[in-house]
Amino acid sequence: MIIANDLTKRFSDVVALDHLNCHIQDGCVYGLVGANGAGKSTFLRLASGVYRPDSGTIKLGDTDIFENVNVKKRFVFVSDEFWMLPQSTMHRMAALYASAYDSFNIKLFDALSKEFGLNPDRPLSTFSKGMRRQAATILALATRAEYLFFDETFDGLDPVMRNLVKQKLYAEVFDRGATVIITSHSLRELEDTCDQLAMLYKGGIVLESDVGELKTSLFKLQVAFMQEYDQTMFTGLDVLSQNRQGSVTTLIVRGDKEKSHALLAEKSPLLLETLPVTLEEVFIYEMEALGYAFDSAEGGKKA
Amino acid sequence: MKMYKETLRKLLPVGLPLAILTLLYTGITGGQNCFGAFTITQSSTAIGITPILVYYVFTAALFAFYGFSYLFRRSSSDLYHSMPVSRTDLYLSVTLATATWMGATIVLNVLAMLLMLLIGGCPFVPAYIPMAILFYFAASMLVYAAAAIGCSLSGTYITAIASTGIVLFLPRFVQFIIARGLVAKVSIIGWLDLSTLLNPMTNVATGLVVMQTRNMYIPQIVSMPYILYSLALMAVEIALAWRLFLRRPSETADRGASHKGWAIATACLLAFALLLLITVGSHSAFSVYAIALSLLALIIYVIYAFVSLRNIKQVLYALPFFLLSAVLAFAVSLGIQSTSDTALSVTPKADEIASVSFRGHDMVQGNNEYSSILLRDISFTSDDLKEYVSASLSQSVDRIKEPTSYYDVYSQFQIIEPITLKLTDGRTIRRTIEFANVDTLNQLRAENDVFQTAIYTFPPENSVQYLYLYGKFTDEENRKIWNSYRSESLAKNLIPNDYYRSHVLSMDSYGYSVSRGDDQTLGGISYSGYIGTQRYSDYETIRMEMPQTVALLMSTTNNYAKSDSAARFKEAIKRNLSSLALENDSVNLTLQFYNVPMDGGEPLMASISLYLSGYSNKNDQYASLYKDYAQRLSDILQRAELTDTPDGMFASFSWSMYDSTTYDYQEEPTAYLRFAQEDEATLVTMIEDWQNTMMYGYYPSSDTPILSTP
Repeated sequence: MIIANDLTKRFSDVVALDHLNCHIQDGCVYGLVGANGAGKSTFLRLASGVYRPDSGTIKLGDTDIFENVNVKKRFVFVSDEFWMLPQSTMHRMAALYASAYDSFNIKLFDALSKEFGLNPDRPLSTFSKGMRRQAATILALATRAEYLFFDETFDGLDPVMRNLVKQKLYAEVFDRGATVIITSHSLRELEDTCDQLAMLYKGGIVLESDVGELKTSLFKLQVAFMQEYDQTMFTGLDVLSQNRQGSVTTLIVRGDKEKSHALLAEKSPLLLETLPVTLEEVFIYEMEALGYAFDSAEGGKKA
Repeated sequence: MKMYKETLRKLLPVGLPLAILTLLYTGITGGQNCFGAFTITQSSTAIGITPILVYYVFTAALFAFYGFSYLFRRSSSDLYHSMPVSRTDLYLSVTLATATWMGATIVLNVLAMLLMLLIGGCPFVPAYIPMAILFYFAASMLVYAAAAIGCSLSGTYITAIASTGIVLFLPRFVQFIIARGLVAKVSIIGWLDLSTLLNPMTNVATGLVVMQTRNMYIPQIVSMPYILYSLALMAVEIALAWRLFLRRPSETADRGASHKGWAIATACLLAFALLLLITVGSHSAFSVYAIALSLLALIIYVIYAFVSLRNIKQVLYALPFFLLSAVLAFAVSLGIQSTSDTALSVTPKADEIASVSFRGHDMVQGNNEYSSILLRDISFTSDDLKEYVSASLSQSVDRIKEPTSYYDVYSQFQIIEPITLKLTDGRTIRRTIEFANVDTLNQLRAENDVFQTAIYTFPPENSVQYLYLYGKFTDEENRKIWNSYRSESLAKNLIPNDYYRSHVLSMDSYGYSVSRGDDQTLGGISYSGYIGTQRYSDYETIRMEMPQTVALLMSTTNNYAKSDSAARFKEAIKRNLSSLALENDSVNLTLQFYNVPMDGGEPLMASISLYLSGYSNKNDQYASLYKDYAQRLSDILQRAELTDTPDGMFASFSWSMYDSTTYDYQEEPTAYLRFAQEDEATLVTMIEDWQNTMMYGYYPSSDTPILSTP
């Protein structure tokens, strides 16, 4: 388990991470979402031992990560910008990875290259941005590391490749029990990928939850009545948000979906419909409930 | 080990082209030295074995910048620092890979040169091979260490280069500026008199730069103490770079400096280096030069601060520190002035001097004669000599304090020698001072038996590796003449080095110096060799005092002479004086006469040199004289015979011609000739007339003087 405890990192006057705490369970896909500058990449760099914390700790179990080769052997980090040696090919980069990772599997590397349709002997400088991302993912997967950290991994990937990468990541988790941490500024990217999601805001995790629970914890009810009505009509429901347009009110409700539906049905509404909510909406409403007001999941301000 | 191999491979794009280029250069220059025209004259030194390596060592910085290039981009820094490789392994892999590339290239170059020396049969000093390798390796790794420190302190190439420059050059630049200031202010302190603290050669890497402008250091730079000091400094700097690398925050990548303090310090030091040029120079603080340099320093300061801090607010915060650079530069200039005053105040009396030693008059020119090697360690303690040295030192100091015109004190016997004085109070001072009379100095030194023996001593026979007399002579002929010179000199107890002979010259009736009798010279022998790893290089004059050697030189020269030379010379003259001659067609004649019975006293040396050309035959004021002499001499030369007997009057005859229609230049081999009895008297008259004409512009056979002003 990766445990961050009061983790703080500053860059001159800017506090990138501010006393961040989190526990990332082994064997899951953990998503970190947040606006640009929220501290996602900084967290990954601290988690992969690139940066030294200014204060607080980040550990694998009870072992510090920074400058700990034995721990870092189990980690691989794919940065948001893939760097390559000058005039190199994927094979040349594989040699670099192999010099650092004893576990690097060249056969797997070749197989993945073939599967992704990349020529490992072609100069990387001729690769598109998406192809470079694929190359970086292939190299990371070939290390057979137990913990895989991806920073904005799906950026630049077409839908087909995005699916292929996701499949590979699931396979790592299910087949080998690997732990994957992915960051993104877009919740939609992570919605159907992660088991756990955390929202970073101004250097701290403001929300952390199981994706399944999040998605089922809230639901949307659209309701309309013949008679004039007010909020008392919804007494007994845990309403996070309501929005009335004409005679139709849209409610975001937390709790048991069927019980809530039944409670309103007893009041003979003209219209009563249960609608699913997107993860993005769940985040927005949960955050509002916590006292943060967001324009969207990609940014926001504290209420 | 894996990361080391990976880094070796990574450095391939830098290392391989450089290795190939240096080897090509070494092959070409080495080939020229060993198989070409330079074989005889080329004297190699440890540093000269592979001269390209002087420049190659500075490419070690490229290896550092390329090896640590991942530190300057966030993405690459992320990759390297996230990999399961410790920072120590990352640092050491670049260091060892650079050492491998540099070391291998240096060894290959030196071995390639060695191979050519062996194949070409060129003499060389075996000790130079390991010394050159060690020297170049120490120099290159010093450059690398400075660059490694620069990279560890920086997050961009620009700041890394600036930091490297500061680490590598700034301390030595400051030292050099102080030394230059001292030498300029106190002319009795030469570059070779400086204390170890100010000696720019101790750091062999920066010493290579100083050597480019101070050639007196060339014979000294490859020295084991300097190499050992440099290796120690290299070890310290590599350890420091390692420490800085371990502490370097990864987030420095793409940012100017790892620490704001270092960014400001670097900007201050860059400005300080420039301001130093003002404060130690002789320029007024308000001169255009000083103002321009101050502005430049300020601009560089601001630009660097901006590049490394990337924040206007922080640049403004850093601005007042610029004054620190100015204060520091001013303090250095005060230090130089104070040191100069102290140096000038040391003028010990004779009784305060325990001993004097002379480090070699030729050191100042970067030369090292064999006699200087022998004399360097002699401690002279005679009172007369100490008195003379003390007085000369005081006079030299007085001349600095109250400068007089150079011509007021000039004398042809005046010389400058670097000396070391051991004082009775235990201090040792080194100065380079003028002595008014070299003969007086030599006479006083001659009271010392060791000196007396040394100046008559030749270098050990097997140490002489290069001999040169005349381009056409073979090695065997050179060696034969050298052996004759040496044995005759020893048998006759002659001082081989002219510097230690009496400098009083014979004068002719016009007051011009001439060589008479045994003092007449027939060229000389250049030779050089090695005592241990110390190179010496000398030139000895062949005089008539050595008849056997002179006869051998004459006969060997005549072996190359052509029998029809005089006839062809006559033809050449005839053609040149005819209407067929073009303006650029020319004939050159040099006749060096020996044992000429003129001007009373012993027979003397005299020469006639003519230059005829289509152009000068019409325009030169001496044209009529030249034409007349050319015709008369060509007739006399027809009747002359080759001789190898240095008795009676004889001459060396050399001539050359240029045919501008065929661009053909012919140079005839020199010949020693004896003249027909009836021609000798004519020649003496011609020589006298020639000298009169050349000195007074009057040619007796003409009614009017050739020159308008006698």
